[in-house]
Amino acid sequence: MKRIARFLSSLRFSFFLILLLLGVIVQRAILAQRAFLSPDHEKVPMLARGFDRFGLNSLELLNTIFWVVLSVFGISLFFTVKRMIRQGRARRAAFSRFRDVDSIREMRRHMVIALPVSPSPETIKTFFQRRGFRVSASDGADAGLLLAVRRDLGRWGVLLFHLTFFLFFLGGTASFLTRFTGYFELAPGETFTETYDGYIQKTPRPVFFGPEHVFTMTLEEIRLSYWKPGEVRQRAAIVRLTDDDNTVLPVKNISVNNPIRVGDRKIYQAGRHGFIASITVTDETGTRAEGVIRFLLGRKDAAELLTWVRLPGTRLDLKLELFTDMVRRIEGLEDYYSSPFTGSLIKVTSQEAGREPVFRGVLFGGGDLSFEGLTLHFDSLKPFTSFTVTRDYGVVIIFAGFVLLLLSLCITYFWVPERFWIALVDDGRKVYVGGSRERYKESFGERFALLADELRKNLAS
Amino acid sequence: MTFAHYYWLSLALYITAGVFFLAGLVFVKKDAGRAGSVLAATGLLMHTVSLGQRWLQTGHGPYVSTYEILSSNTWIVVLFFLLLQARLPRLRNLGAVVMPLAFLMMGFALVGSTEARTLSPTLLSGWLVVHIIFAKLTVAALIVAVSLSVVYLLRATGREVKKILRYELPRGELLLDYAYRFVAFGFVTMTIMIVTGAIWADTSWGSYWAWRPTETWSLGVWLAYGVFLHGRVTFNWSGRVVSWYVILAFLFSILAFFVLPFLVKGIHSQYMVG
Repeated sequence: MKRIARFLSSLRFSFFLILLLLGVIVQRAILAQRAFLSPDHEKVPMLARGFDRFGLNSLELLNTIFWVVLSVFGISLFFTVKRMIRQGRARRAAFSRFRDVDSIREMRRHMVIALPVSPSPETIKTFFQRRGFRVSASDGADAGLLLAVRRDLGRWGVLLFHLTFFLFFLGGTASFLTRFTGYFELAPGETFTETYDGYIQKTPRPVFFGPEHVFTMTLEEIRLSYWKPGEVRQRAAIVRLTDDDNTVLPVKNISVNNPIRVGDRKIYQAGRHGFIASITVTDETGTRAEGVIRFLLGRKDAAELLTWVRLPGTRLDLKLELFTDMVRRIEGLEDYYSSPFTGSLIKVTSQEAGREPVFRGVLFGGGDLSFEGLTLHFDSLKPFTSFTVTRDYGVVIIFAGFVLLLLSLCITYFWVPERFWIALVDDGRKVYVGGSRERYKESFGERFALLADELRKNLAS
Repeated sequence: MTFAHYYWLSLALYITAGVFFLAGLVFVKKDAGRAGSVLAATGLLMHTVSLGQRWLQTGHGPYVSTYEILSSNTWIVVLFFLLLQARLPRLRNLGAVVMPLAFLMMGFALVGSTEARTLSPTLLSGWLVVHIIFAKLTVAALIVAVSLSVVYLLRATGREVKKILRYELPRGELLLDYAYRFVAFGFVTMTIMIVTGAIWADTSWGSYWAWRPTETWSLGVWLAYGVFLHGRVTFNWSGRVVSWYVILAFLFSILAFFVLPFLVKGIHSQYMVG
C-alpha cells in the first residue's frame, strides 16, 4: 500500500498525468473548434481530420478518457498533498537547524570572510535584519552560529496550489448537482412567472433543483441601442420583480454584464431581440392555426428583418421580410428608415423544393393575404427581448478556488524562501557564510555574491 | 500627424534600435547597445502617441482588432524589455532578439484592417481591462523568455556563433534561469488572464466555463506551461531542453491565441477578426 501511495504521489507520475491531461484538453479544444466548422468532413482543416483517423473525434470517448484522467489526477493529488504535509514538517525541521562550519562549506553557495578584528554577532544580526531576514542565534561547539531566514512562508505555496484543485473538484461537483439555465422572452408589459416548464429553452433538471416560482418578472421597457445598423451598443431592459415571498422589489435596470440576483437565481440580459408577429393561417376548409413568428434584430445586417417558416401540413417554405416603423424607436436606428412609411408590413415569398421562389404579395398589419388556398392574417406585432436565468451553487466555491490559485502561485513564484547560515570561528575572525534559495538557484548565485560582499564590507568597516 | 504616421515612425525606430543592439552584440560596442536603448525608448514614445491618438479617435482602448491588439502587444513588449534592461543592464543586448520580434508583430498588425471598430455590449466591462492587461503582460514575459532561450541556443550552437556573439551576456545557465523566471511570471499573469476571463464570462453569460474553443485552448496553453514548470522540478530540465520547450510552447500559444481566432468563430474572433 505504501509503495502504491508513493507511486501515486511521485513527481514523475503527476508529470505524466499533466501531460495526459494536456493531450486530452488539446483534443477537446479541436473538437470544440470543429463544432464551429463545416459539417462537411472535407472542409475541416487537415490537422483536425488527422485526429479523426485515431477515433479521437468522438466526444463520448473523449469525455470518458477525460473523466478517467481527472479521477486519477484527484487520487494522485490526495496522496501528493499528504506527502507534502509530511515532507513540509521534515523540511522545516531541517531548515531551522543551525549549520556548523563543515556543513556550510559543503554548500554550493558559500564563502569565508577573514577579518583582522572579530565582529560582534549583533552586527551580523543587524545586517540581515535590515534586509528583511528573521535571525536566530545559537552557540555551537566551537563557533557562534546564526540562521537568517526570509520569506519562510513561501514554502507552503506549492501545497496551497495543490489544495486549490480540491476546491475546483468540489465546485465542479456542486455545479454538476445544482446548475441549471433557462431562457425566456418577454414583450413590454408581459410577465414571466418562474417554473421549470415555463422556460422556452432549458438545461436538464439538475439533481437538486429546489423550489420553483422563485421570482415573477414583468418587463417595463426594452432599452436597446445601436452604434449603427448591425452593431449593437447595449442590450438593456427595465424590469419589475417579485420574489418568492411575493415582495415587490424596486424597479431594476438589467443589461449585459449587469445581471440581477433574486434568491439563488441570477437573471441575465440575453442576446436575442427583435419583433414577434402573431399570424393566423386559414385553409380552404376553414381550419385555423395561430402562431408567432420571430424576426431577430442585431444580425449582420440590421436592415433585414428576415425569417423563414414552413407552414404546418405543407411543403411550402415562406420567406418573410418585415418592415416596421417600430425600428425607428430604437436608439441608433432612428434614421434607418428614411421613407415616410408608418405601420408594419411583411413581404411574403414562397418557395417549394426544387422550384424558383414566387413573390406572393404584401401582408399589411391587420390585413390578409391569400395564395394556394391559404389565407394569412397579420394579427399584431410587438417588440421582444430575451433573458437567461442561471442557478449554480458551485460558482462561489470555484471563485474561492480562483483566489486561492492566484495566491498560491504568487507565493510559489514571487515569495521564494531564502536562508543564510553563518558560523563565526577563531573568535569571530573567520566568518563562514552559506546560503540557499528554493527557486531560481542560478540567479541566487549572483545575489549571494552581492550580499556576501556587502557583508564583508560592513564587517570590515 | 495621424496615429499611422507615429506608428510608422516608431516602427522605423524599433528597426534601427534592433540594428544597434545587434551591432553591440557582435562588435562588443557598449555604446551601440546604449544607443539601441535610447532609440527603442524614443520609438516607444512615438508608439505611445500613436496608440493615444487612436484611443481618442475610436473611443476605446487598443484591443478590438488585429491591428490594435498586435500594436499594443508590441508596445508592452518594448516597455517590458526597456524596464528589464534598466534593472539588469547585462541583458541590454537581448534587444537584438526582442526588437526583431517586436517589429515583426508590428508588421503583422498592418496585415489587418486599421479601420476603427465599435465595442459590443459584452466588451463594455471593467473585467475587460484586467483581462487585457494581464494578457499583454503574459505576451511580454513570454517573448522575453523566448528571446533568452534563443540567445542560449545560439551560444550553445558552436564556437563559430560564440565568436560572433562576443558580447558578455550572462552565462548559459543563468540565461535559462532568467527564462524560467519570466515563464513563471508569464504563467501567473496567464492564470490571472484566464481567471478574470472566467469571472467576466460568468458576469456576462452566467457561465464561468463552457468549453468554448478559446477557453479550452487557453487551458491547453496553461497546461503546456504547467508541464514546463513541473518538468523543471521533476527532471531538473536544463540546457537545450528548456530553450526548445520555451520556444515551442510559445509557438503553441501563438497558434491558440492568435491563429485560431481566424479559423473559429467566437468571442475572441469577434473582436480580433471582426
